[in-house]
Amino acid sequence: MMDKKETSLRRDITGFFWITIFLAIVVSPVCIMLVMPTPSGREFWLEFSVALGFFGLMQLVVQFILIARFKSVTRPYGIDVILQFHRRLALVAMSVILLHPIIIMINNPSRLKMLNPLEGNWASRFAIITVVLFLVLAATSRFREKIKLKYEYWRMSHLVLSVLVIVFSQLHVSLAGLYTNTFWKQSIFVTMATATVGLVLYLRFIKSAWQRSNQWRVTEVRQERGDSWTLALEAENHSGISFLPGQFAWLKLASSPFTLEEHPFSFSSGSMSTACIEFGIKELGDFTGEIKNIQPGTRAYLDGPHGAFNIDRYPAVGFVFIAGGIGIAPIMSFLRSMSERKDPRPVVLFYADRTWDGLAFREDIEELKENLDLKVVYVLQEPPENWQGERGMIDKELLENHLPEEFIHRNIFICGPDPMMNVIQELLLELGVEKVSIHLERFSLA
Amino acid sequence: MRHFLGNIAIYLIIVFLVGAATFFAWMRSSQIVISNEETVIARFDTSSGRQFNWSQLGEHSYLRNCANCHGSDGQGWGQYPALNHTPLLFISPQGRSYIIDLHIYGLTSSRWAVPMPPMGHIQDIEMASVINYVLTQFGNEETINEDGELLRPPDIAERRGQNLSPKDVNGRRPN
Repeated sequence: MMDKKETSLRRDITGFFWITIFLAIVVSPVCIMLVMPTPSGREFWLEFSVALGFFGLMQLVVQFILIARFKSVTRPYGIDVILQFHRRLALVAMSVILLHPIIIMINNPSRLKMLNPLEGNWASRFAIITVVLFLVLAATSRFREKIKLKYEYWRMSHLVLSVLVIVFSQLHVSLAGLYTNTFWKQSIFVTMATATVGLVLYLRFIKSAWQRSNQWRVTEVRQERGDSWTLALEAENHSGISFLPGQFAWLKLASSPFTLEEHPFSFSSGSMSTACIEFGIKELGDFTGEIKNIQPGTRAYLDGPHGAFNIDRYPAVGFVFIAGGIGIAPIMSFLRSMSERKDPRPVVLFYADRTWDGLAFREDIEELKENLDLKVVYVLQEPPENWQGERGMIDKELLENHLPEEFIHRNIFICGPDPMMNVIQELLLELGVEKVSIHLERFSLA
Repeated sequence: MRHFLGNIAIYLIIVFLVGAATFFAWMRSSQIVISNEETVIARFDTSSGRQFNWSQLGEHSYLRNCANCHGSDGQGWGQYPALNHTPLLFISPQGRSYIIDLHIYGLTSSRWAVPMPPMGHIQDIEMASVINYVLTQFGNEETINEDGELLRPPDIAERRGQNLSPKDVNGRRPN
């Protein structure tokens, strides 16, 4: 659990520490290459391209660490930012990996024949296999939704392909051989590749097996408004999970923790109760559409808590919460936790949805008003007749009308569909709110 | 920190990596880090001021241009051929011009994955010396009859200006 005393300064220091470690890992092979004995240098572009190749390989290794959900690594940034970084770094890695052969070919076009697997040697053949697998990996990730690849299949293929990419690129490095010219250099690279594959095995098998001693049981599946459900879980023979309001966990609903079907959901319950927790889930896809059919007693496994979208991370005199649709789930956790803690700080909640009847947790929010300094602004796209409240979308005028006078000193938390969050963030920036005071929770994690 | 990693970090990383690769390539290509003393001396000592001696120039040139791939004793390694078959090619019909051509224009073939880069920038006198050096070292002297068979700079000059590709050169290989 995150230490409450953790300051933002300490987070910044840890954050820069990890970035330094990252850069050190990426440049480590070219440093090892310079340790004697080294072959005498070749021309500039050839060596340049070799350096890029090694940088690419090391970035791939780092990718495995990034997605391992190590809390000490993700804490300074928030895991959503880490996963976004994972995708962007993949593009950088892909660029340098592709540049590596392209520069070599341009440098001496007669090397083009190495593209033909029948003409090259094993080093070039493994290089070709690596690049092809990597391109498939990238394409299936980028276009997963377009080609309608099921999430579990994608996850499985991502896992297998990424391990193959590491193995084949290591074979390429070992066989190309110029810079692995001694036994110990060769050993360092082989060890690194083995450790990477080992990390995958650890995550897939050992960590999952460990989840077995932290089982959860579904106690209730409660219908909420707007095709949403509250999934209530109870810890089985353990103390539960200490989370901060607004965080989330990856949930597996299966008899075995080794399943690849795993989805992130925000806690909607208050953070005081660690053994009985709740998630707010809306029917949107294959997995969430099945939530209503889950029987009480079903076994569940959690990986968490994760996420930087929480009110305890940012000291503030008061809050503004803005929810769109099921984006209310983590905000329910905010409100419930604040109520449990008798938090006196003022809150304004904007809650936008299509209809009055579709406002999940509407009654709970009204109840929470009794314990909290809470003002709620409902914004409906299709309001009922006689609706006195706000209608349409959240726009600048609406914000100006309802934001408290000292809003620029408050911290603002927004959770909803991406387009809505982007628009509101722009509006708030225009109104003079600092970017560091605006916090967004994006659902599209995976 | 969230903002930094989410927006700025990736660009800084790209700049850093390109910079590091450039630094590494510069360091390597200008032989800042080397392990073989002879190779270094060959790179920086222009051997001027000495009396001309083709075998010295040949050795110097060999260490500078060839040893990296073909080994300091012509033993070859990995994807790079050893040079003990050079004299056999040299003495076969058309072999003389083939050996010169592959040095000037480079060579690519299905026998070896890695191509021989064109070395045409090397002056006639140095190229003749270095090929002669190879033909008379590494045990090759057994095959070559030194009298009258070795190359002279005009032999190199004669083969220049043909506009051959490394593949063309391979087509002229004696069987």
